[in-house]
Amino acid sequence: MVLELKIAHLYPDLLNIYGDRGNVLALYQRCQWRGIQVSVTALDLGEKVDPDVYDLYFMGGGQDAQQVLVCDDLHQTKATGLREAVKNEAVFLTICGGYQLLGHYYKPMQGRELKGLSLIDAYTVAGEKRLIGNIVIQRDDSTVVGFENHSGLTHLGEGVRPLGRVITGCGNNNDDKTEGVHSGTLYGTYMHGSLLPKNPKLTDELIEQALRRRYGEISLTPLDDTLEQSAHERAVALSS
Amino acid sequence: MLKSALAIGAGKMTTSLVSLLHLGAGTSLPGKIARKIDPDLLRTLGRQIREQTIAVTGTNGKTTTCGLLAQFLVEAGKTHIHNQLGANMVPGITSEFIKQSSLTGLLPVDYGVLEIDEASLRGLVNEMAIQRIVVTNLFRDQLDRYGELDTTARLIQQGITQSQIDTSSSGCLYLNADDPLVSDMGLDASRVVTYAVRNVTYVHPAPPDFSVAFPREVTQCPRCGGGLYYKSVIYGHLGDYECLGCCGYDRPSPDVVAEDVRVTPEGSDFILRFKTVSGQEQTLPVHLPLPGVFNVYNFLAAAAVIIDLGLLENNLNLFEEGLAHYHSVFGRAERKVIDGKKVTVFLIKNPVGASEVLKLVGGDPKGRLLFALNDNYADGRDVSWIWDAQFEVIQAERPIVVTGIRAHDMAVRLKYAGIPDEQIQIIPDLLQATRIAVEQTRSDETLYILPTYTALLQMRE
Repeated sequence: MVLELKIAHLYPDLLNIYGDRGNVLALYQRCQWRGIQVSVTALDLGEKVDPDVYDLYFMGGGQDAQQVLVCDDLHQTKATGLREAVKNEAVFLTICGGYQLLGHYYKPMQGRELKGLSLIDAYTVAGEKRLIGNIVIQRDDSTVVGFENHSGLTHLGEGVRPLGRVITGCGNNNDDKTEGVHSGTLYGTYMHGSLLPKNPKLTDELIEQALRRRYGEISLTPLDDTLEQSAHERAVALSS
Repeated sequence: MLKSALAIGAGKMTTSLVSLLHLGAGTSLPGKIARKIDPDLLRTLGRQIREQTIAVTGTNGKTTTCGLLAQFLVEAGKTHIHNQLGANMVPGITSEFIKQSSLTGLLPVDYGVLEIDEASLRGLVNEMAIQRIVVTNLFRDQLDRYGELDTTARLIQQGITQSQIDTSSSGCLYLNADDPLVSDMGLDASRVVTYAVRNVTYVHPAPPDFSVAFPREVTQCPRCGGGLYYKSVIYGHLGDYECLGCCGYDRPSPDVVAEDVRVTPEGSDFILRFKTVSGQEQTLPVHLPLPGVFNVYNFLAAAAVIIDLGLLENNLNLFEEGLAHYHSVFGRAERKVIDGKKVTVFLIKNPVGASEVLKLVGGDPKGRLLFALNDNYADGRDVSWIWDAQFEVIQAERPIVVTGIRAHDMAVRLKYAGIPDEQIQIIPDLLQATRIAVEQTRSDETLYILPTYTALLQMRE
């Protein structure tokens, strides 16, 4: 049986500032290398979401002006489809700006408050300074590495599980040591780098979850991750 | 007067010390110290420039544009001062003025050619009479330092507004017409000259399709926020565009044009079309020995100024001779021979610039590659940008060497671009990597070294 995985890339031109294309590429290549039939579809301004089609949604981060455009479009054309997709257990990977819009709202320093999709119980308020630098987090028995660059401070609601605990870096709000969110099939994080290429374990977890929707339990063929692992270990070493 | 003499003395002494102690060239330290003694020093020295001062700013191409401009001025028999070592903030420029002036503060030159950092243009125009400003382009670069692209555009615009280009009778703004973020900066200026590129062909064409599309950096009209439509793209967001909204913004009709550009790893050939100061249409065939369309833009920027200054009148060979005498600035398409092997060095620092270099060298069947990726402050701490650069155009038939602090990130990037693991050699030590890459290069091949900024400086040592 040839497995199939359909990825929707939300607003690839508007939300693209920190190499987040690398995440989509990592998902794509790791499917290709295993013979999984994978496709990437861009969903831009004005395009509706058909919740039955896509297994995995990716949304990156953008500049302030683009963030406003995206926020309006999300509510006008995509919210219904995306809510349905979440119910269908499609996987969401959201980074930075995309992550913020998954919560209740983002309150910037200036300008109007951006209403989020409230798919997770979290809210974000712009902080005084930008949190910039290498970051390593502990996630169960492994580490996740990346680079963060955000001024938004995100606070998770009571009992909402973060993606991991900060070892070095700032994380969600530079205070409670949480980083990102992981709730069911929803993932959010401030980590760029790009995130997935250097964290192949997390990438495969996303692929497995996305395939589960259609095919039930799947265990992926292992790949040779020597290069990815050495980049991961090097990033951990550079951060300490 | 005494104060400025003291300041110059202190500055000159610092310059000697810096060079004696091998603290690196092009430092801003002498300028910083001298400015403590005499905050008006740059003002005093700058006032002595006999003709005019041209400032060049923008994300990419400042150094090469200034280098070409300075060379063309030499060909025209004009003396000039030029911060050629690339210290491009106000203290660095002050250092250069101290170096070039006499102990008593005399600086007898015709022109100033100043490369200036995007965020520092405002500071410079407040201290010096700048009559002419060139803006090359605005690409996404080092967001960890300057924040967003829109912020950078605003800083440059403020610098232009506060300068003397409008109050001086011969003042002028030179803008890249193909960059929608730049050509818009001339909205309020009284005199603007624009330049553009039309029709480009590559000798080693890049494969047209990518499995995962590359994002566009600019999609919205800078005036009204409407969608931007491109009739043709030269590279990145440079091209012939028009706004689909109601504001009517489109690519201005350019005054200086490079047409039918043929790009090879050695250089480009094209037809230069322009109007002389007396209003006559003129065309000139140009062979530019610097490779890449980005260098065609750099040439156009310098040529636009020279044509507008009237220096080409009765001297039509000026460009040809200037280009023949031009030596690349270190790391900007610089050619060398190391141990009998041909080596070309291209600085890479942001996705659009790197993609252009890769298009140039990635398909060369006689080319080998060495990437040196650092993540020091001057490189940008975040290496995410490599995922937005088009490494997919590389057709690897030979091993590729990767080095630098982030060599492993570079290796992973190449792997996901489709390069087989066994073709990727990780040698973290930069000098060792260079030595090995040179050794592996055969005598009929060229080694292309693509370092980030601090890796380039390390190689120079």
